[in-house]
Parts: sequence; structure tokens; C-alpha cells
Amino acid sequence: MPDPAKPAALLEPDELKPAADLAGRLLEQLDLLLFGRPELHRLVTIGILSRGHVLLEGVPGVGKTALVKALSQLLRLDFKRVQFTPDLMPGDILGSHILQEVPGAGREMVFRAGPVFTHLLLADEINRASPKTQSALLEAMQERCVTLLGTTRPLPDPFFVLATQNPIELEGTYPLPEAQLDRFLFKLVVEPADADALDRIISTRRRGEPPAPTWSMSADQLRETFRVMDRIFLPRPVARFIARLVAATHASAAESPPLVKTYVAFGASPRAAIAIAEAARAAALLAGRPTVGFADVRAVAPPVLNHRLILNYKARLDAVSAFAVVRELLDKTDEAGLNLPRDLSVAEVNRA
Amino acid sequence: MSHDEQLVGRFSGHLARWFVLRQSVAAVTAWAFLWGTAVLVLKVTYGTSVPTLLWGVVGLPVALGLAAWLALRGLPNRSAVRALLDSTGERGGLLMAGAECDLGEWEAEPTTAELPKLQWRGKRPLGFLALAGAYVALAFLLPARGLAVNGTPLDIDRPADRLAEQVRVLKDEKILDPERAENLKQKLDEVRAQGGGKDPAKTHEALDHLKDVVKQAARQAAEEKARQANQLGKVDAAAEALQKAAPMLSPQEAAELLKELAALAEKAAAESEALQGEFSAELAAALKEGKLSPEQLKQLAAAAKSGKDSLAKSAKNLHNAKLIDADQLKACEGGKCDADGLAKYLAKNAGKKGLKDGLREVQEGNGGVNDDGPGDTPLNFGDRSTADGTKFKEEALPPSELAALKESQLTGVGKAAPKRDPDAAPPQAGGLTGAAAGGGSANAAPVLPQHRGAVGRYFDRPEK
Repeated sequence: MPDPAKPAALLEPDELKPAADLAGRLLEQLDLLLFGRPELHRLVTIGILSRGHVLLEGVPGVGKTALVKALSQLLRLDFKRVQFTPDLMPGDILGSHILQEVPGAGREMVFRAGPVFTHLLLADEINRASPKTQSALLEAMQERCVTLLGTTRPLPDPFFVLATQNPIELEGTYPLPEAQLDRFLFKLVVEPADADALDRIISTRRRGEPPAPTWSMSADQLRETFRVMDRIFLPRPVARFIARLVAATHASAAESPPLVKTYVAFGASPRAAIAIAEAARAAALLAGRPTVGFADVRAVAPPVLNHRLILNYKARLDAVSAFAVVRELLDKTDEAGLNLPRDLSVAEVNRA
Repeated sequence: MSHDEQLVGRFSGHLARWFVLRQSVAAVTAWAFLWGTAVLVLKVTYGTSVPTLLWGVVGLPVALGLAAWLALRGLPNRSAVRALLDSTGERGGLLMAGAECDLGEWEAEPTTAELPKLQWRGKRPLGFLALAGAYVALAFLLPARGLAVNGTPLDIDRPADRLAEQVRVLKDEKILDPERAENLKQKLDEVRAQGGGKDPAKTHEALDHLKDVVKQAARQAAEEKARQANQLGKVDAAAEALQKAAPMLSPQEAAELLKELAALAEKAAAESEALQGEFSAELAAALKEGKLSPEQLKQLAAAAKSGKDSLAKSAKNLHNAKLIDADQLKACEGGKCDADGLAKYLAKNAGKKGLKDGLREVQEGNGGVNDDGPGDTPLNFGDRSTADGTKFKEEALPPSELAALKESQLTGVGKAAPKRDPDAAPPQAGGLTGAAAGGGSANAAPVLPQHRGAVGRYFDRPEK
């Protein structure tokens, strides 16, 4: 039986190029629809290509919902939006059984599917719902199915949750539990648009509404892209780098840098290592490469790890953020694993 | 071999060279410090010659070999090198993938022709290497004589000077003959000249030996002087006693005693040069004849005293030179005989005991010659002391036992008259048993009211 981690040959350029073009076009269209955040768009695209769920965090009005809506238009996927409120119940998301008159059969309990049965679910202000309602999404996000009254129903494929949360107005909110956070591939911080982007928005958009996209990706094209992405090769040294990186997030690890030892209470789970590997594959596809490089890992590691590191109270006192810890991790971890002596270093590369 | 493989091979070689270089610098530095130290130690301790010390250079290839072995052991594997080249060349994983699978058409992708440069921060190691080289050079250039501990003289001036002074005193006192004294002085000078830091124990041993020789001579001389002083003391005391006892002796008894004295004086003179020098020809002739006039007796006593003084003076010189101790000095000052006691003894035992017996009796430690018995010793009181101004410790006397007696109960009345038992043993425990010292009261443990019934029943005598 062939080892799936060791393909006999890499993807041929002819196989890779259509998928890479599609992914690139998706990103290009996103940049056309929404101004000023190419890096955010790139990471959201990577998240979608990795079939992961994305948590968007930002103050109101920065375009979180607009981004998700634009994505749903571009992907031509079934899209549902749920506004999370404190009185929202699990049944409001998952669906419930109702008593229905069936002609000729009397009355019977019929399952009425909730909004979770969709391709792209926008969970707006997810932290406003109670933990009970938030936890209703756990099975859906991880297993991609819903179990009600002993019956498990699969969700449509693909299934993405794009959630937003507001970091201010925390009164009356319920912070997402770690188990829920861990199920999000990325947590992306949506920064306010800069002056140039704002200028372009108010100059070219009436009431700030983005124009209808001129191109969209079909479900088949998306599935084909996923298929190609699965064949992106992850070399052993890169896999080793990801493993060392995630292991070093634990304060007890020998390789962990001082910042981790001081400020991290709990490090990232193995799910984080899987998420980095998947996201790095998507990043390689977006770059049109059949293999994952160290740069791909470095690009996706911060959004994957930042919400998975649980910092201690000292970090809050010293105003140390998870992003700072991840940056230190990436700086201090030797990607190639050369373990050169301290007085010997690689200086520069002369390119031909 | 593909271009990528060549790149990896070239960079691995490059890395190996740098590893070997830095390890060699460290090894050569360590070897140089060791060599330099060995050179210094060998020069100092054994005075090893430079050509012999140059043999240390054979350690260099050994150090280099060890360095190369360590460097090659610590080299990163090819997979890590490939990863580094992939990263620095921005190959996006293609270079690494080449080691694991077929690259296919991707092999034709343009690659970097140049290798990344390695930078070695070698200022410190090279500085240490230079320092080590200078150390080795210095170790060779330093003169062996300047380093040798042999050249450092041992400071024995004080004990040697003291010893020389002692030898001089012994020579002056004619305890050592000049030849022997000169011989000792020469030996002392030799010890002084040869005594060096190389073997201080040997030098001190030689000094100790000379010191023992000198002390032994002084001790023997002191013993001889003590014996002579004792003899002279006897002669002195006997001459004085005969002068005092002469009126109480008959001419025949006096002549006998004088004869004995003459023999004693002649014997002392034969043994003591100090006494010989004091004798006049007339006195010497009279001594030979055994007939001494009262005037000659005086002369003999004076001669003996003078001889004792000269012996004491000589002993004092030895003591000042720390050749004899205080006890030996005291012994040399001569035994003191009780001339008065001896005169009385001779007068009392005239015709019965001789001078020799008298001298033995009056010798110190024999209890003297007075046999008059103990007699009444007068009782002398010193100044009387008074109790004025003396502070005594105040102590309250125990309260009266009357209160206890008031509470006592009558437990019975015996009819029989008390009798004294003549065979009874004296009481082992009296009323003062357990009383506190100085407390002023006897032990009187009260019987508690609840026990009084039991005590009463115990002592109750049945009526007959």
C-alpha cells in the first residue's frame, strides 16, 4: 500500500496550474470587491481552501460581514446568516422536530433543518450567544454533521463556519470556550481600513455596497481545487518544523523560547499542527507551488496559533499578546534544524 | 547527479571545512596552552632542555586529528542542509521534495547557482589562539635559571647565626676545642651556602643535626660543671665547718678531719680546673701533706668559693646562649651545704664520725643534722579580723510548727511506759533527713487530714 505522505511524483504543472489559477482568481476577485486588506483576503482564501472555519475579530463596521457575504457570492455556495443573541437556543441553529400532519398517515414528528444545514454559515457576533448555544456548533464544526434525538445528519459538503466577534462591548457576552476556539482554523483580526481604502470606498461605492462579482467559482471547480490541494506535497523537514514549532508552544518543552516559558499557561494542541500543515498546503497552492515551503508555514502560523495559546495572568499584566509570543517562536525556531554552533551563521545568498 | 544534489554536496563540504576550521582553532588553542604550561613546569622542576621540550609539537597533529573527528561528528545531516538551501534559495519546498520523490517537470525550475555564505565570528577564538601562541613562545624564551626554584635561597640566616653564636660560646668556654669549633663553623657555612629552595627539608635537617651536636656538647659540659660545683660546695662547706669546729675538737680529731678535707680537696682539684688555678703552691703542698693551718683553711674555702663562682659564670654564659635551660643553670650554681650544721655535727660526733658522714648528713634533702627533737613551736598570730562591715545573707526562719500541732488529733493512749531498747540500731534517718541545707528546720512532712485515719490505725496499739 503506497504511503500517501510519500507520493511517487509531484503534481505536474498542468495539473496544478488550473487549480492555482482558480484560487488566485478567487483572491483577486475578493480584492476587487473589498478594498484595503489583501493579506486578510489572502488568509481567508487560504482558510476556505483548507476547508477550515474562520473566526473574524474586529470592531463593528470594519467589513467582517461584508467579507463573508462577498465570499459566499464568489463561491456560489448556499449561504446562511445567524445573528447570535443571548436568547438564541441550540434548536434555532441546528433545527428541531415539529409535529406535522401527514396526509394519510396522521401526525408525525418531522425534522425541520436549522440554518446550520448550509455550505457557508455566517455566525455573526458568535460570542453574544450562551455557551449552550455556542456548543451546539461543536459537532457541526468538527464532525460536519448534526445529531438530534439520536439521529445523525451530515451537513452539506463543503461546510464552513465564518464567525465574527466584537472585541469591545464585552458586557453580556460569553467568551468562546477553548474547545470551540480550537475548532477554528484561523482567528483573523480585521483592522480598520486605512485612509486610502476609505477614500476608494467612498469614491467608488454608493452607500459602501460592493458591486456584484463578475466571476464566481462553481461547486465543481471548488471540489477540483480541493482535490489538487490534497496532493500538495509536505516535505519531511517542513513537517518536522511544524511539529517543533507546535511542541515549542508548551512551556515545558526544551525548545520553547523564554517568552513561552514566561507567559504561556497552555500550548497549542495537535489540531494546531494539523491546521498549520493544511493551511500551508493551501498557501503553496495559492503561490502555484506543488510543495510546501518554510515560508508558507511562517505565513499561516500566527493566525493558526494565536487563539490556541492560553496565556497566563502575568502576560495580561505585562501586556504581552499571543501574536508577540508566536513571533518570538517563529524567530527562535531554527526551521532547517541545522543546529549550527553559535559563532557560525548563514549570512546571505548570492542569487544567480 | 542533479544540480540540486551538487549544491547540497558543495554546501555540505563548505560546512565541513568551516566546522573543521573552528574546531581546529579551539583544539590548537587548548593544545598550545597545555604545551606552554608543560614547558614551564618541566623547565622549573627538571630544567629540561629546549630541544627536548620541542617534542611537544607532536601533540599538534593529535589535536588536529581530534578536532577533525569532533567536527565531522557534529556536522548537520544532508536533509538539514537541503532544508537550509531550500529556505535560503526560496525554493518553496522543491529542493526538499527532491530527496523524497520524483520532481518531474519541476526539476527544470530555475535554481540558485550560488551557495549561501557562512559567517564565522572568529575574533575571540582567533584571539585566544594568538594568546596561546604567545604563551608558548614566552614559555620557551623565559630563562630556566630565572624560573628555577633552586636559585631561590632558603632564608636560614637567623637559626644559622644563632648556631654560630652558640659554637663561639662553647669555644670561649673551652667546652669545644678550637679545631672542633672550626669544623662546626665550616659545616654551618656549607649549609648556609648550599641551602636552597629546591629541598628545604634537607637544609633544615642539616641545621637540626648541627644544633643537636652543639646542644649535646653543652649538656655534657653542664652536667660536668654541676658535678664539679657540687664537689666545690662540699669543700667550701667542710673548710668553713672545720674552722668553726676547731675549738671544740681535740688536736688529734682535728688532724684526722683535716686529713679527710685535704683528700676531698685534692680529689676536687683533680677533677676541676677551676679549683686547681686557685691553689697556691704552699696550699697545694699542705694539702698533699694533709696538714692545714687555720689560715690555709680560709684560703681553701675562698678558693672553693672562687671556683664555684667561675663555674656559675660559665654556666650563665651557656644559658644566655640558649644552650642550657634554667634547671641545668641552677644545678651548675652548686649545691649549698650547711656549714654551721656540719660544724655542730663534727663537734658532736668528734672521734665517732668522719667528715664524709657529716657532709652526707648536711646535704640538701637529707633533713639536716639537728637531732634536738621537735620542741615547742611558738604560736604566732597575725592581724585579727573583725566582723565589722561584713555582709551576711539574710534568711527567714521557717514558721513555727505550732499551727500543725493545734490541728493534731489524739489517736490513742498507751499504757506501758516507754522503754529504751539497748539492742536497737541507731536511727538511720533522723529528724533532719531531707532538710534543706541551711534551711534551719528539720523535715516535717504534714499528714494530710484524709490520711490521718489510716496513719492513726497503723500506729494504734491494741489494748492488752
